[in-house]
Amino acid sequence: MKKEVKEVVQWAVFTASFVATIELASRVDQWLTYGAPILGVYTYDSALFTSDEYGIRGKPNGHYEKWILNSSGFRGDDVTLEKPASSLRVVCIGASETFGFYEQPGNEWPHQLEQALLHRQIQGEVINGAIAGMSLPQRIQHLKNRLLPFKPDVVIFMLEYGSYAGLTSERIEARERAPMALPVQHDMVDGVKSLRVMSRLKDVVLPKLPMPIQELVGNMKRRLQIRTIKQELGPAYRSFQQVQPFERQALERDLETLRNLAETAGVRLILVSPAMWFTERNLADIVISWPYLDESWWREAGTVLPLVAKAFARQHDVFYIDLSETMRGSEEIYMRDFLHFSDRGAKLVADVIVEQVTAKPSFSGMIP
Amino acid sequence: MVFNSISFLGFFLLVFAAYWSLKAHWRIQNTLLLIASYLFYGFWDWRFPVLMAATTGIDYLMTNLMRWSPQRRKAYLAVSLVSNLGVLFALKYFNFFQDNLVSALGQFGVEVSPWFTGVFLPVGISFYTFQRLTFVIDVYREDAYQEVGFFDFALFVSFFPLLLSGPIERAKQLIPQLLRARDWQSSHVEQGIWLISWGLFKKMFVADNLATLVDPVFQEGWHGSGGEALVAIYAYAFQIYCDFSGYSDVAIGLAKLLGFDVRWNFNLPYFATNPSDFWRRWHISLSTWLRDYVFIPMGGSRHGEWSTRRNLMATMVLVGLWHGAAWTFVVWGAYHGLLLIVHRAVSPERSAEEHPLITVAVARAAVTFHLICVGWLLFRASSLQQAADIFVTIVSTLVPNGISLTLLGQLAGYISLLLLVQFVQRVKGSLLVLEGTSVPLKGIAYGILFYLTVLHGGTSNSFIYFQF
Repeated sequence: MKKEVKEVVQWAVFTASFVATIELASRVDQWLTYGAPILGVYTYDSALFTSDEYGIRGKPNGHYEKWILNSSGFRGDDVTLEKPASSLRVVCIGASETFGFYEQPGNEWPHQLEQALLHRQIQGEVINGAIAGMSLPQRIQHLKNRLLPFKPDVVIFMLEYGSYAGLTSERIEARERAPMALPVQHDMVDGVKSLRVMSRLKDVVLPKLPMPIQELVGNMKRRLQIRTIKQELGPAYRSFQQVQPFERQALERDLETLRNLAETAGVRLILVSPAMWFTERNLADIVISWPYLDESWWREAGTVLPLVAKAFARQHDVFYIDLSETMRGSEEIYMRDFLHFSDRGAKLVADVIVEQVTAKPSFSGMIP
Repeated sequence: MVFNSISFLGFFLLVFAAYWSLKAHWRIQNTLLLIASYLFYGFWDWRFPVLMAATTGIDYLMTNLMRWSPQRRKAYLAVSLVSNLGVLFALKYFNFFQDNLVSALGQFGVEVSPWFTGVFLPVGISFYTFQRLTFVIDVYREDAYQEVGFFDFALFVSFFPLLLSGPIERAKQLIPQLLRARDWQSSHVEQGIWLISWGLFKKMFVADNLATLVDPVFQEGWHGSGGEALVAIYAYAFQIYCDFSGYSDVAIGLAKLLGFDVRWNFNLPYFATNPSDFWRRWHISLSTWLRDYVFIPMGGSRHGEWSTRRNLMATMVLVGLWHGAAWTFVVWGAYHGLLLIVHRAVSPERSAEEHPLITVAVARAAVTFHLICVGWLLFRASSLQQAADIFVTIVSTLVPNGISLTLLGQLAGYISLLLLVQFVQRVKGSLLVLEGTSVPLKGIAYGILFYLTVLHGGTSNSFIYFQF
């Protein structure tokens, strides 16, 4: 008995010193590589974002692993409030696909847009004002309070429809009244809860596993998440099967607010359609991020909401770029979720925008 | 399926669990290991195990015929040698000799097309052929062996931990272990886990990362600085050492987990203080094989200095040729032969003992290391011309341009932990450095190895010595 107890104690000591070592190594590694604090919290949300009276914003000079923000809290090089002479200043706003969640640094589409402009001998300065996880109404506030002071010539606004997903009119109103909160990123939340080394191991080890095992792990995780969500939501789970009239109206209302804002500020507005590619696989997974919505909602939203945006643009003479046709059908331009762009996909977005903008006489006249 | 892959981990865990669940039945354990070994080899190419089974059958038959008709054993040995070395020659060296013959005939104006191309080269063939020959030659020499059944002999040849890159185990060492029950010993398991962890660290962290410093310099059309080339050669010295000795450590560790004791293949070779000492520490299973089955039968050092020099040179050229069918390997072998001959000439005492003065010992080790590095340049280059070009670049541009501190920093970063552990191994006089240390220290050591191997290890799915 004594021997067994001794063995158990030895294994416990071994495990504790092993785990402590890999956790400490991970922290030292992050400190050396990214300048992360050895002690304290170092997560995507805590390192990159903060809040002020207008809600969530990018942390000035914040950096988390590959994501680096400038002194104004945006991605990309530092910008001054004063616009450089004979230069076109462009502000891009969107969610994670504009922020550049998966692309290598410098390959997010706003940065590639600047390169594409330069390639056409257009002196442009592109500010990437996107914050991953921001809803459309939040982005409008963000534009008003933090980006318009930079006096852009053009605002490129990438739409997405998840902002309206499953929100009843009461919820929309409540959200519009409430200050902006930090975006909920399930994986990031997991990262905060666990040891730092765990999230690093997950990133490194999982892709090395044989594909069937990766799928098995992915499916198990997915089932677990869905079970938790189902328990939390009860009958509300996937309760939205069709796009509701109030969702459509909310989109129109937001677009109207956006147009008025741009008009008041004297800024040319460009609306860019979302470029999500709905497949059986990502429609099955999307419920984890939008648990109120059924797959049928997304299928309908993918057709109906772009029509709403397009009709709005036509009616108010707002330039509208439809990416959906250009982007569909090529796996290489997407990450595995078919929601976010790969480096190549981001380049394609930038190229399409530059091509369409420079072809439009009313815009080409603005180019210095 | 290589040792540093997840699929091998799954394969080994299955074999390990099944193997020890049959603890009471060592013959069934052998059958399991034989099936696992052939499956493991078949993952590479289905033709490989077929060829191995055929040549194993021939050797088994010949050794039995030697026992039954001792008066004709020379003829049976000849059949075995011809079949083993013939297959090795046909698959590994035929193209080399054919190309050289065609080129030589072309010099005399005789245009000949190659007769035969597209031969497949089974991975590990040089290793298992030499391993099998130890049995054949020992039976021929009438070294006592207990009766070995065909399947046990086939397992001796194909034993999967050693199959692809050795160590080339002697029949005398391994066969007796195959013919008795293996005990589960916790010390064996502990040693095995350390060797596997240390071996994977050497392979994945050190060797695979150093490849990023080495490969660009040896690419076609490289035009860099002498400093870059010098760092690449130093890096290659550690890359090849860690790649091969890492494999050997994992192989020995896996064998230990299955209850087998396999000889060491490396013993801190860069601590060698002379060329002779280096070959006592580097690829020990091959150098002792050649000593016992080539150098000594040729006369060894028994017939005067000139005869010894000739035997040394012949043996080392054979070492070079064993590594591959290319002139760079032949010249590399001859270079090492020359080093051994010169060392015999200049060093009156050939004792393995170190010089009592530490500074002298360190200086000798440094000189030996640099001589070995010159050899590695020949070994790594794709042609003698490339080796000469790189050498000229180093000599002509090193002094004016110097060495990039960034490259030196990278090199130091990848090898510093290796050197630290090897220093401890040297001082402790044991490669199993964690034996007898405290439990928390073990946890810390395994934690560091795990972190660097898994989170900073390379992703190469091959080992350098697979090509030999």
